[in-house]
This record gives sequence, C-alpha cells and structure tokens, in this order.
Amino acid sequence: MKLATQAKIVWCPGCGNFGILKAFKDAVGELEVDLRRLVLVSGVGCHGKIADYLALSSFHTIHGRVPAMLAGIKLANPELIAVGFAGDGDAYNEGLVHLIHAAKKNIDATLIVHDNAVYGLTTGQATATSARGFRGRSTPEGNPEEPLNPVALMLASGASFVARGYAGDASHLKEIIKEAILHRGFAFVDVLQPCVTFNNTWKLYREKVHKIKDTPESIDEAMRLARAEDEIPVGILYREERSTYEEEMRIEPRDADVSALLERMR
Amino acid sequence: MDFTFRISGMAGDGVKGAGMVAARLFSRLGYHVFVHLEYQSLIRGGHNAALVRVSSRKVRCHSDRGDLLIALQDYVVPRHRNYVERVLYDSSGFSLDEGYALPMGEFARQVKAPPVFRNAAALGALCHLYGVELELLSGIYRDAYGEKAEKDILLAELGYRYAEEHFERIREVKRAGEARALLDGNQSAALGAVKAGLRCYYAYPMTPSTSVLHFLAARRRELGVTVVQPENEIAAAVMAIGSAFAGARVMVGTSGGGFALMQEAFSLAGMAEVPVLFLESQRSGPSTGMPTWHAQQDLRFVLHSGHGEFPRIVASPGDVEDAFYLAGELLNLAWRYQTPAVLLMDRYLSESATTAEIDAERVREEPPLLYRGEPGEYRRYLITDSGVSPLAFPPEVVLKATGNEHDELGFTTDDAEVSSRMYEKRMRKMQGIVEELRQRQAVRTFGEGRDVVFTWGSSTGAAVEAAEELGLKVVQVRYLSPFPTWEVEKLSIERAACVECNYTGQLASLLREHACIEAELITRHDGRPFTAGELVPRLEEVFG
Repeated sequence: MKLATQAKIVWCPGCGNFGILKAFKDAVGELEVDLRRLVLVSGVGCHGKIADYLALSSFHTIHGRVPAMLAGIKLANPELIAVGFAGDGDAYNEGLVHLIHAAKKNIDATLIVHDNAVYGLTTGQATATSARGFRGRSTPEGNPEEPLNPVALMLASGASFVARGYAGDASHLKEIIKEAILHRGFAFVDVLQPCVTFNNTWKLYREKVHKIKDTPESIDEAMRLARAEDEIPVGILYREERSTYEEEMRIEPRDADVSALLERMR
Repeated sequence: MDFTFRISGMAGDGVKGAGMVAARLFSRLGYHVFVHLEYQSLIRGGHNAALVRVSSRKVRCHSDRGDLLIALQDYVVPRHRNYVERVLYDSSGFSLDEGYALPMGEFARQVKAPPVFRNAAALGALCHLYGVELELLSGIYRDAYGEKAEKDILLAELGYRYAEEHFERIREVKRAGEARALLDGNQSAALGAVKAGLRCYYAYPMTPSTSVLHFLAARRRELGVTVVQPENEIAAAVMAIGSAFAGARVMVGTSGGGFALMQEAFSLAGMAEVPVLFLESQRSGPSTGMPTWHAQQDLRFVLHSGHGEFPRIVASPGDVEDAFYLAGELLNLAWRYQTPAVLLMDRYLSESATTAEIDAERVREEPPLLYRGEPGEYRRYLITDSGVSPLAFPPEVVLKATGNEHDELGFTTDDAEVSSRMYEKRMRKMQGIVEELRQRQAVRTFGEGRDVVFTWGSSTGAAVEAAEELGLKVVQVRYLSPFPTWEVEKLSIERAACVECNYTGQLASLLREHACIEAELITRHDGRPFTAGELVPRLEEVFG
C-alpha cells in the first residue's frame, strides 16, 4: 500500500512539516501494522493538510477538536489505530481542554503536535507556545505572555506516554512515533517545528536540541527534563502502563430487548 | 374519573420520588396518569412539587385543580392552597388550622429512618384516602428498592393505619384495567433511539436533558450502549462525529445552551455528511434563563443552527409515545441521508412521566445505503442523483472525511466547478428527505373542523384537551425541517391559532413563511407549560 496521494503538497519549502510527514511515513512503513486499520485525524492549520498527503483513512476535523474525535473513533471501534495531528494553536489554544482530558482519560491514541509556536495559516500571530516578546501581527510590540510548556502540562495531566521530538531530525522522530503508536494509551508527541515564514527557529533548535538516551524512570526526572532551559531535551520523556478509556467505558453492542424493558416500566 | 393530587416540600424531601411512587399506584391500577414536576435549580431547600393527575381517559397534560396537597413543609402551603380542596401535612413539623394532620416525622423517628423517608407515611395515608390497598404500595417500594424498601414499607403502614383511624376517605379508586407503562419523554426518546440501533450516547449534563444520560448510563450493559460524559458539549458533539465516522449509531443530548456550543460541530456533520442525532431539550432562556423551567424558544435557533447551508432533519414529538417513535425515525433518517438530525424536545415533555402504550416493534434499525464495490475504488463522496453516497467504514476501505470542501474521494478542493457540484449534491438530499416525509407522518391531526389550532412539541397535550372541549381541530407539526408545506396546504382553514411557549410565535412565523397562514398567537414565556384549563378561555377568545 503506497502512502503518497494525488494531492500536491502546498507547505512552504523548508517547512518543518516535511520532516514530520517523512518521519510518520517511515514509522508506519517499519511498523508491521495493517495500514487499513490506521485512522488519522487532523485539525485546522498548515499541519491539517497532512490528511490529504497520506493514502490512509482520515478525518480533517475542526480547529482544536482532534483529541475529542480520536476518542469518538476509538469508542466506536477499538480495533482502529487512531493517530491525531494537531497544531500548537489547535491543541494548546483552541482545544486545550480536550488535550488535557484525553491525557487524563488515557484514550488509546497517538497525538502528534506540529508545534511551530505560531499561527502560520492565518499569517503569523502568537500561540500558546510563542516566546515572550514574539512580534506577531497581533502583538506588534511583542507577546507579553510566558509560553506554555506542553510537555510539562501533559506530564501533569496524566498522559501515559510523553515525548518531545524535533522536525529537523526525522529519523529520531520516526523512532519516537513508532513507540507512540505501539503504546497502549494516550501517547503525546510535541514536535518542535520551525515555521520558515513566520517563526524561523531552525538556528535556535540546531543549537539547543539535545537527544536523551534513556527514558527517565520517574515522573519527577521527566518533569525536570521537560522544564530544562539551557538545552531542549528530545526523546521519550515518560511512559507508563495503565488501562485505557475504551477498556473502561466501551460497552459491546448487543440487540437490546426494548420491549422487555418497557414491560418492566409498568 | 379525573383527579389530581400534589406533593410538595423542599428539595431534599424526596418530592419527585414520592410523586413517581404515588403515580405508579394508579398506573398499576390501569389508570392514565400524568406527572408534572416543578423544581428549582438548587439541591436543598426551596420549593419542589409533583402534580399527579389520574384519569380513566387518556391524559395529555397536568391539571391545576386538585383534591389534595401533601405538604412536607409549612411554607409550601400558601403556594398551593387555592388549587386544592384539602391539605395533608406533616404535623410533627408544623401545624395548620385545617386539614389532615399526620405525624410523619414522628413515624420516621419511630422506625429510625431519616426525615426524607417521611413521605412514605404520607403515601400510606394517601392509599387510605383513595381506597387503594396498602399492599399495592408495598409492592411498588419492593420493586423500586428491593431489600432497602423495608423502612418505606413500615412507614407506609403506619401512615395507612393512622389515616384509617383519623381521616375520611376522599374517593374510592377501583382497579380500571391492566397495569400501564409509566415513563417520561427522555426515557422514551432514549429507548426509541436504542430500538433504532443506538450504539453510543454522549452528553454533558444540562437540565432538562440530563436524565437521558442517567437513564442510559444505568442500563448501558443491558442496552449495549456506550455512555460517556465528556469534558464539555463541544467534545460530545465531535466525539459523536468520530464514532459515526467509524460506523456507530450515536446520539448527543443537551439543552439550548449546550447546543449553542455544538454549532461548529453541527456544521461539520453537515459538511462531512456524518449522521448524528442531537437531542435538544429546550428550557427557559435566553442564556441560563430559568434552568429548570419549560420553554419552546429554540425552534428558529435549531432550524438555522450551524454556519453555512446543509440539509438537516428536525422534528419535535408531541407526547411520550411520539418521542419514542420520532427518536427512532430520526436516527434512521440521519443514517439514510447522512446528515445531522435534531430531536427537539422540551422540559415539559422530557421530564413529565405519563402512562404510554408503546409498540416497540414499530421501530427497527433501517439499513443505510452501503457500498458494495471494490474496497480500492471507494469514493466517500460519490456524486449521485439522490445526493446520497454509499457508506463504508475503515478498516474495510480507506475513508477520507473532511470539514473542508472536497472532491468525491474526500480530498480538499477550492475548485469552482468541483465545489459547486459537491455543494449541490449535499443539498439534493433535501429532496429525498421531503419525498420520504411525504410517506411518513409529518403532522398529526386531532379532531375535525375548519377552526384549526396549530401547535408543536409538548404544547400539543394541553391544546388537544382544550380543543376537544371546544370542538376545534388541532394540528401538531411534527417535522419542522423540511417543513411539511404539503400537509399544511391541504388543510381547509377558516380561522387559525398557534399555541407555543415562546414570545414571538416561532411556529406561527413558519406557517406564514411556508404556507401564508396567519394564525392568532397564544403564547407564554413564564417557564410554565400550558394546561387545558388555561387554554380553553384563550382559545375561546380567538374562535368566539
């Protein structure tokens, strides 16, 4: 099954999305899963176009709601392998509540966040992860807010798999994505991704990104890495096993005897 | 025989539960029963009431006039006193100059039960007052609470014996027939949807839709329905779209404010052609309004909800039985036409329990149009004459769905020609829905004549009872989108009125828009549903 589609890719040359697309394609190529079981969900933003670039089942949904749709898909059919793609504006601004609850519930799905710390498709406004002082078109004198730390947030929210990847290292990102898809439970991958047009962070990331060797044993150590500032640790920062939301909540369909229930209401 | 009694106290006195147990006494004796609940948005204190109407004929609404008030608090008495002939009250808690003094609190202490149990003594006394065998009441307690029913049964007996000695019987209520089913509109709608193949129910709690969530959650294994209360209404709606995309029949429940939050997802369901049934039970607005009170203010809102244009199916049931059939019908239609549908309920219908005869076998899961071709050639949005594209689901096919405008395969497009053809394909489904509704019951008519009372939703009940008395015809508009112009235009009308619980006359405006009918407005917007008694003089004003 080939993964490329007829759709012409319309991301800017040099966009970090290419690295994420390549890493994902390579990951599913190497994972011997039945590709027909894969279902992708993408949100609104530049990242969302990824649904058109992959010959897999997909739902290009509305802004911010990717985690909720992943939950709905898995509750309906737990045999499907659900992978979400979201942007930072998508996941950390518009739909933050869904992200936190997906982590807390431990929905068995992967969420890959294309985190370029800017709204690209709407031409350059600050998002939740934009640096303090970021001069966007809606913050001409600089963003006055401190950036959100999504990895720390996901650790605090109970995500059972938390990773940070870098779009500039597709082979490392591929390994993270493979592990994320194999993980049973909510697997969160924040991908540092430069936006060549509105927030070009290639230089910053080349200097600061640092691959960790092993996944920390404790959540405290994971949190320390998540919050490190001198360098930016990438890799799988935390993983644990616990029951998934579908296992807890899904009821096997059956032909209900409604007439009998109505009889009992006499 | 047609009589009403009321039970009233504060929140926490078990008023609703007592009202339902008392109602079941008479539904089991074969009578028609209607239970109207009044309560406030608080957990303890305030004013709660259950009005139970019992009749040997079908009852469609509550009645204000009554035999008896059972008062569990002194301060509720003035509110009800003018509507009832006598009062039975808890003389352990307070004293009145008149009425039946029953030491309910003292009985509760005797059996070491907390005060909330004392209404069982009142129901025991009620059995004596209406000449009902005490054993019937004990049986209802046993069915409801099993082994935990012991104290209720003891208290009922104490109340019954005391009443036998001290109170005069009000009337003798003999068995009238076989036991009847007693359920409210929310329960009925939930079961109708289940009968049509419901697999998932998602809802964030909001009065008056919340009891659907409770009802289905409690029976989820028996019914085979996954029931989830997600983080908010937006999640509920988007989860539903995800589940339907993966092949499961799904319903979302909410009220007006929650449905407002779902607007973007509603539009997504229209664009991506995902069948989702929304149960919207209206309450008194705007905004938070009077959260526990009745209204029919959201008709225009639901008809125009979601941005952009897309086919939708909206219908509103007129009573508990209708709620069952319409919920099933709408779930089937949503799947047949792959578009969102709204079951527009209201507080009075959702939460009033009535006796109902439901033929569950009239509703079944009707299969949608399924794809039978080669998996590799699947086109989710195949352009067809009917506008309906065959359905298939992953993992059988690669299925690409999207909220963006798209081509037949589901790839994003902004091509003028492709987008135009796809837009028209979606809108063409409306013609099929109209043809389908012509075969179904788009309106219900009651009575004869050329003086016509139009109504919708739960206002139907009071309108039908009042119209029977005055010899008028009632037309309940069941389907509101597409509007059944074909049914309305064939009516022969001399004079028309329109009964609805809102300010502007929303159904009346639809009658004008679609059929040039000018109907006199009979509306209210005080959170209270109409009773037949109130409607009779207002209809007389219109029809002379």
